[in-house]
Amino acid sequence: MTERARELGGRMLALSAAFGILAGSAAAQDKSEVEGARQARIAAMASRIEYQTRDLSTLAPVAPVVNPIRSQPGPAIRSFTFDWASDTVSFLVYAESGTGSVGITLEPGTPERPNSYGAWASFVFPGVDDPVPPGKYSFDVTGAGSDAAVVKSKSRRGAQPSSGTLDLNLFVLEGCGLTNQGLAEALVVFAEVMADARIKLGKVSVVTVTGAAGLLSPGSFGEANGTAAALSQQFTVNPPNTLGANLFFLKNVPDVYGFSQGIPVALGIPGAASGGVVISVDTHNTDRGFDGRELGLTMVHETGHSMGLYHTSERDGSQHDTINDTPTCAGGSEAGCPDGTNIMFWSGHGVDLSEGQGYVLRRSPIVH
Amino acid sequence: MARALVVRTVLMMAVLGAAAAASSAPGTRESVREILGARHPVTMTAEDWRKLGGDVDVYLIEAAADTALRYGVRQRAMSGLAAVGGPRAKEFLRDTIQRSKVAPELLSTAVHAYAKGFAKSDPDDVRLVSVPLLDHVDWVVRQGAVRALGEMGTKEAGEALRLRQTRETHPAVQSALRKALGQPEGGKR
Repeated sequence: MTERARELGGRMLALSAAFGILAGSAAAQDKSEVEGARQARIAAMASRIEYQTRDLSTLAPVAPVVNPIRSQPGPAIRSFTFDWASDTVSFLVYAESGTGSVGITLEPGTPERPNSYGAWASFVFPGVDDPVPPGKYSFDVTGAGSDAAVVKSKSRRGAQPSSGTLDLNLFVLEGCGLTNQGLAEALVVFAEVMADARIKLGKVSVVTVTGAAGLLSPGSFGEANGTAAALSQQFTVNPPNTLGANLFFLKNVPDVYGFSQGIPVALGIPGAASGGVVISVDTHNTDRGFDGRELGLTMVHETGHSMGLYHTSERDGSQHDTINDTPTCAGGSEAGCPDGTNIMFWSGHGVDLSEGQGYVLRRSPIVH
Repeated sequence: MARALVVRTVLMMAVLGAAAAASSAPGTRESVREILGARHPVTMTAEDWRKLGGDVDVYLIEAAADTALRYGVRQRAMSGLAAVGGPRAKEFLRDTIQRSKVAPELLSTAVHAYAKGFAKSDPDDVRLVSVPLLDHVDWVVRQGAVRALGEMGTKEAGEALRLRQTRETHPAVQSALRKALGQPEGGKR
């Protein structure tokens, strides 16, 4: 190698090093700017949350209103009808049993899927991304082993929406470990995912529930379900936002990140036992700090259920939602399934909502 | 302290060795992580877990000990270890209970999982590690110990729970005590 070549080689190396440092510096600056913007979004979110406090220990228990669906003991089936007009946007039916299980059956061929959750059952039109033709629709409510059930409906009318706004009622049990920072971080993620469905985050109200320390950490899923029913009956009577989605934050539910009380829940129906979703706060903690992003994803997934969305695919591939544009998987993991990136996939960290899922969400009785 | 270090070292060597040997079951680790991270709990019996691979307990231990994972994932891994059982699961859970710097949420789950998995085969040891935690400073840990002793249902466990009941002040632990002792809730929140 000549002296000239060596000199050139040395200069090239020096230049490469300089560019490397510059590139590294630019990347660090980009990262810093991205983090700065993220922190600004979190701060902006935190500033828009409205807070209030309610003391559960001073509130009288709410007795569920139960209307008979049959007068004689024995298997009971009662039929109902409702009208779908040209300006109907959505129609939700909710049945709640006082003493036993209850189920709903829709007309054969109906693409919507009713959901029974033991003591309550429900469905919502539209539950799929197909327009509902105007007309009369019927459904049966069955009470297996129950003597009575209350059947309620919630409808929404107006123009077919191309976008919408969703308010949130967040009932946070005092002592559950949720910080304002963690919640704001989660809400930023919630707003970003919901934006895919052209749904804006509206009013966010936090109700700090005091006098409920005994309910912070149920010992089982069944116990948590009972806790959630009691909270729902109490707090959906007079929520901060009448049409908001209700989320109840507990400290820890064994093996649970979150669950919806139904698919859908009793959206906008005051005093129902199944009025929202439960979030287990501790399960989103790590040794390195609170994982607000995962909390946000849990909140979207469960709120999706509460507004009528099913899993795109179940783990064994035996069941799928009936939304037209969500891919289905014959069974398997996030990486191996075409719907693995969807927020309603059975597992993983997906963030996508399809246009079809957005169709259902935008028409929800609680979206305005 | 020295014993704990030796146990931890031996346990880690056993885990690493088993993990290397488990290479004959590709996908076991991924399947375990997928189930632990599922949006909703996947009901798994011991047989279901073992179908994923003979050394599934190794991957459950790995997940339960992974400090980068959410507590929910690690708690599910401990529940899985209670279901799968075996000496490695027992040693890991016992070691977790006796370590000094474990998050209360994880310690609470570990003691309950230890009882669920081993109360029948080794009731004396389960009682031995659970009873001291009834006086833990964090109510979440006390609640886990109460549930562990409630799981046992023995006369000695009942005596320890009744003693704790006379001085417990946290409503969540009081509620767990009533359930563990089969007492009515009495409408208290």
